[in-house]
Amino acid sequence: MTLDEQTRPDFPILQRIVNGHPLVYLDSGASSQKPRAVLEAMNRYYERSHANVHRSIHTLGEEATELYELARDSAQRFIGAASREEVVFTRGTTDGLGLIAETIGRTLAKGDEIVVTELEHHSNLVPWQLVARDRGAVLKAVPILADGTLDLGALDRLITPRTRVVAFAHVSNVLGTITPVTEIVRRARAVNAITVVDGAQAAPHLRLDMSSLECDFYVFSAHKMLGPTGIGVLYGRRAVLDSLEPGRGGSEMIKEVWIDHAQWNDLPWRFEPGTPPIAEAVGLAAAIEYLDKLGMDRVAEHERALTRQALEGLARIPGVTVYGPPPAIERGAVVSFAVEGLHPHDVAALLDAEGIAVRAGHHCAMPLMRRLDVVGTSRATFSVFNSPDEVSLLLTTVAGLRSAL
Amino acid sequence: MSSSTPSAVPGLYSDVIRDRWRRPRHRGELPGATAVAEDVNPLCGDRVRLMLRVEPEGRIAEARFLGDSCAICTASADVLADLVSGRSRSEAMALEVADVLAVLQAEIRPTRMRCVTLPISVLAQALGVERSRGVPASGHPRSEPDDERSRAVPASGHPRSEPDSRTPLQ
Repeated sequence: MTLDEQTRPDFPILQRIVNGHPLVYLDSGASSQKPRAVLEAMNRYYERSHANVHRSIHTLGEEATELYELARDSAQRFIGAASREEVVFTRGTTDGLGLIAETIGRTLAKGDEIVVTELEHHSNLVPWQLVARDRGAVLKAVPILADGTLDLGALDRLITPRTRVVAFAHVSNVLGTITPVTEIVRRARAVNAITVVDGAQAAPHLRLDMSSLECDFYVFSAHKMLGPTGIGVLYGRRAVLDSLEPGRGGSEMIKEVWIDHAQWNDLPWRFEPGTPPIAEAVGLAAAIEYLDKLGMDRVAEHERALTRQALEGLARIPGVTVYGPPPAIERGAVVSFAVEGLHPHDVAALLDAEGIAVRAGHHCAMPLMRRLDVVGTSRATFSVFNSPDEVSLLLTTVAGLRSAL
Repeated sequence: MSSSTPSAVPGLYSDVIRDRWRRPRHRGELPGATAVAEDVNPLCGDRVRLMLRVEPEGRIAEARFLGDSCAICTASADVLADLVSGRSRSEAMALEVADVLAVLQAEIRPTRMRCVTLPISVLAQALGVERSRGVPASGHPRSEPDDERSRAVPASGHPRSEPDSRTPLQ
């Protein structure tokens, strides 16, 4: 049985008829759909065990705390982190990147350098712009080559003894480019720079192992990997997390408080102020369990096949331009394309009329759009429940679009 | 919610929108423009520049536009250029979204409404510049450091200074 045949019955939303057609959901890169197991786990939590965590001395409070902390253990195993103290729950990738930028930002001095790349999502660019402005730091970007991969040759020029942070995406949300994390980490570490990896597009598709990636921070969201919205994971290498002051204050992140000062809580709670997203943590744990049962290697293989089918099929359609690395180079489950004579938003609207959901626009990566010299692209992204038939339908529909308007 | 809704395309892309997208009447540079403004839709990155030639007594003699924009936004800009031509400045200022929608004859969903309104907000900016600067326009754009996305430009100048300049608007 193929992965999509196995998983499709688990996703209630795939029963939807959209504009008279069965839903073909090719927008998991923006937010994936959720299997019943995730929905039921969250419901069960709310119906049986909900209370606030950590401070409630009653049965429900203890159950909620246990479920929340078990979710942390699940996340730790899922990403191969060395200890549970390295797993901080956030509200999502943007929140995690903002938190770490603010936190590291406080340690930067005038003239310190932050290196990002041209293919960053705004969420891994704008927080560093704010930090650079506040601290008088310098922001630099690693350019991309014509094939959509990073210009690693430029790293030697851009990473200098003044570099304090190197922040980059593991998988581009526009081009699907997979960046060489360990290589970039190695070069950053040579100058003692902290590495921050945006894993939003990687976590749903690749087997992750923090011990082999060796980055200092790795950030991702639950909602792109079959989990709920409102929660994300910030992995932080323990030695680095320990050295940082908390970015945000509130309850849970302190041990003792006086009027004029406070003593910080232990890791990971030091970075989790306020009531956390408890039900969402339960949902994330269920999503991880679901992916684990499928096997991330099998997930990656399935999505790789769909991506290759889409890339090769789109490239054969006259008037269609495909962006990003050529099929020979491995990429994430992301395919951006343009149809000659049509604006990306019109492409998305015309596909929607056939029940096919794709993303269109700048994908929160305006500097990359300028680099590609386009206003935006149309983007199809794939998940465990997508089938080769759905990709075929995308291809035949796109092939008929040029005469549609 | 109903499990089945009628196809979006016939209503969204009306005959007027298709026609204006394929053959816009007012697309192109406007030599001798006295007021120019340009803005982007932050949701999609679409960009529209509107150029007006306003006569000394305040009548809009001609309007043209350039843009990297979708069919709906292009049609809206083209219809708007129709609507303002020959009108006084105050008549043009009084134009509303409903006036453009009435011509477009399309079922615009909320997510695409900005595609319709972008040219209208650019018109307001152009007339604001024109009014504050007098006629004919020359010199430098208003400095608006607080709002990077909304910037009036001189009639003869470049829309923005970006080192990695894009293909010119079409």
